[in-house]
Amino acid sequence: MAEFPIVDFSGDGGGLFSGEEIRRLMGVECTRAERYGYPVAAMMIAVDRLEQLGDLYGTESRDTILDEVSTALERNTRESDLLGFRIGSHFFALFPHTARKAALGLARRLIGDTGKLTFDEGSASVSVTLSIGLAFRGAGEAGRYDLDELRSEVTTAVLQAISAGGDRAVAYTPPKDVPQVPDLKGNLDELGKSLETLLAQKVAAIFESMGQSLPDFGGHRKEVLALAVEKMELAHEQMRREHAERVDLLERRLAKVSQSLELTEGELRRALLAKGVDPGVASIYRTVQGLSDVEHDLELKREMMAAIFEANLELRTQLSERTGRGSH
Amino acid sequence: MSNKSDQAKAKDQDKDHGVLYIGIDLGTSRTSVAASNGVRATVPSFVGYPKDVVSKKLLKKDVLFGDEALEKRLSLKLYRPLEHGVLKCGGDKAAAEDAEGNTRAARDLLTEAVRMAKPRKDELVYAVIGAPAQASINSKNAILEVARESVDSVMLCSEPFAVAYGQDLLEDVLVIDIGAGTVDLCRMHGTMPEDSDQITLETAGDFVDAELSKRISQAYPQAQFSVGMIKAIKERHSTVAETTEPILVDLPVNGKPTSFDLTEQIRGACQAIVPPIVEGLGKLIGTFDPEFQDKLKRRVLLAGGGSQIKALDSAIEKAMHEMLGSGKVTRIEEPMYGGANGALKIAHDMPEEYWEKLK
Repeated sequence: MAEFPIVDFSGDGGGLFSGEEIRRLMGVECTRAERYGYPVAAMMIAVDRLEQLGDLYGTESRDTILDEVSTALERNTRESDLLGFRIGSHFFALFPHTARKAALGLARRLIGDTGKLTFDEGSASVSVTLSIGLAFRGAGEAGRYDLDELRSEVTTAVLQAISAGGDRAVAYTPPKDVPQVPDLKGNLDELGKSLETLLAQKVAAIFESMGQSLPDFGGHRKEVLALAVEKMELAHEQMRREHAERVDLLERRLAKVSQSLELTEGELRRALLAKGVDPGVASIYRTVQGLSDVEHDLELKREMMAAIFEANLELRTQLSERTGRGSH
Repeated sequence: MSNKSDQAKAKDQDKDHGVLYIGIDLGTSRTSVAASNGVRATVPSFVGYPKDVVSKKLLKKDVLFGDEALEKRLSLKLYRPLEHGVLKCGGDKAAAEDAEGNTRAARDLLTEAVRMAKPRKDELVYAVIGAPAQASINSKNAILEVARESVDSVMLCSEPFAVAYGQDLLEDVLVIDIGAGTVDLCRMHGTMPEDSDQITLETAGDFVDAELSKRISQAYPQAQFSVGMIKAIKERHSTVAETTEPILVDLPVNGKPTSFDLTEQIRGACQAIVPPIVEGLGKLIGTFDPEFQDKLKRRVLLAGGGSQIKALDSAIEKAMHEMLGSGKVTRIEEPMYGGANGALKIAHDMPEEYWEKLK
């Protein structure tokens, strides 16, 4: 394997081999590994937030960071094992005779080493972190020894590492039970036609419900429908905005009412305290048991109503008697 | 007879779309109505009938009420059917002049009061009428007899009790209800007030009018005025405040409007009702459980049209301090409708079965 100390991480094409040549050599290495059955590990390395760092401190600092990472990569690997090149701001490398455990260890070392690096940019000191995606072949790992397939897998893995927040290594995991998609394009065409028919029926129904016949769109049916969809989206957006405003208004009102309620409760507590009234569970108990003032008042009122009725009934009786006597 | 009963049944069947409850304060000076449909109205308790065919044709009405009746009184036979809070036609005053006319006027006034409440044709009308605290049985019967023709079911209750009930003050409260004919004092102590809990005084609004007339006549014999003018002056300027702007009123002297300073006369006439009230309060407080007398003194409620006399609450408080040691008087918010609102509340709270039995 000593014949492959080939590294071109400069990305400027100024090295011994061009990117194409290195890619070809990587393909040869894959074929060889398959033939002899030894493991290989592929690695895609990305510097986290490199674009933002470049925007903040300039493109020169970006190049400096990439160079430093490249050096760290070389420092941490056996020269004979490294075969890699740079794609934009990413590094793609292939490690022959490297199984999963060793590759993950290497990734961790790289992340640790890069974390120690600091770059002085004027008054600021910049630290960088790495996201690393890994894929493996041989030593019980599934998959074909195919360079394009490996590259696709490490790309997926590195994206997972970035989306998880960076500063980590993620090994590619093949998706489980991926359903077979039968002739997606044909189905989509059919679905599109069905939707179009359905849409046309709906539009006709809407016009019919308004007591109008479907107008002739003059061959611009799609444009008209697109316009209608655009209008609907605008109306929807406006409705959403209005709802948001109303929610905001209600939230503010609620906050105001809550504040007012707090003040009232505070005042009530103060008044109850001043008058020595027990506002606790005991008062609730009294209400539930019908011993509160309200219950007492209701009972009292019922008695009073009965007394008024009795007095009026007596008056009525006297009146009737008097009327009876008068008529006799 | 059976025909009449059938008619009554048919009438009841027509009225099967709910009940309109009405509280009526049938006052000597004003009649106020509060109804469960939200209507509140008041009318001066005057009823007028055209004197002859000519005036009937001119007025285009068979009967006039309130301010309109007062305004056209020269063409009318004018009635004020209540005196000292009771009907002139009934009971103690039955022998009074024109009993028949007053009965008719009282009936028409109550019909007008019910009309003001705007009942629907398909509604039953149940009314509670406030009567003076110590009205005699005959007086109450007279009111009932007249009212039964205007409503489907009617009950009477003590006027000051209605005021207290309307304010939800049922315990340890003293109510002063100052009307035109009577001042009613009532002691509430958690039960239905009995006769011993109530006092009716005749030193009310009409008494103030008479007192004011007397004082003006004494001070300014040349001034000309009528009872109506005196009433209007009292309603506008009444006060018992010790410091006030001079009250200057124009009264005719031999046909020429002349300005008179009536400050002292008005204050003196209004002040004249305070001692009897405080004396009455003293009786009610003095016969109450000694343990609760202080509480009673602190809870005195002032209601009725007469309570609108400026600074009357302070004057009663001051007199209570002098005669009873302490006192706290609170004026209710709507003195004109205090009785009617309370009567309406009673009408609402009265169980349906009671109304049915009194139909």
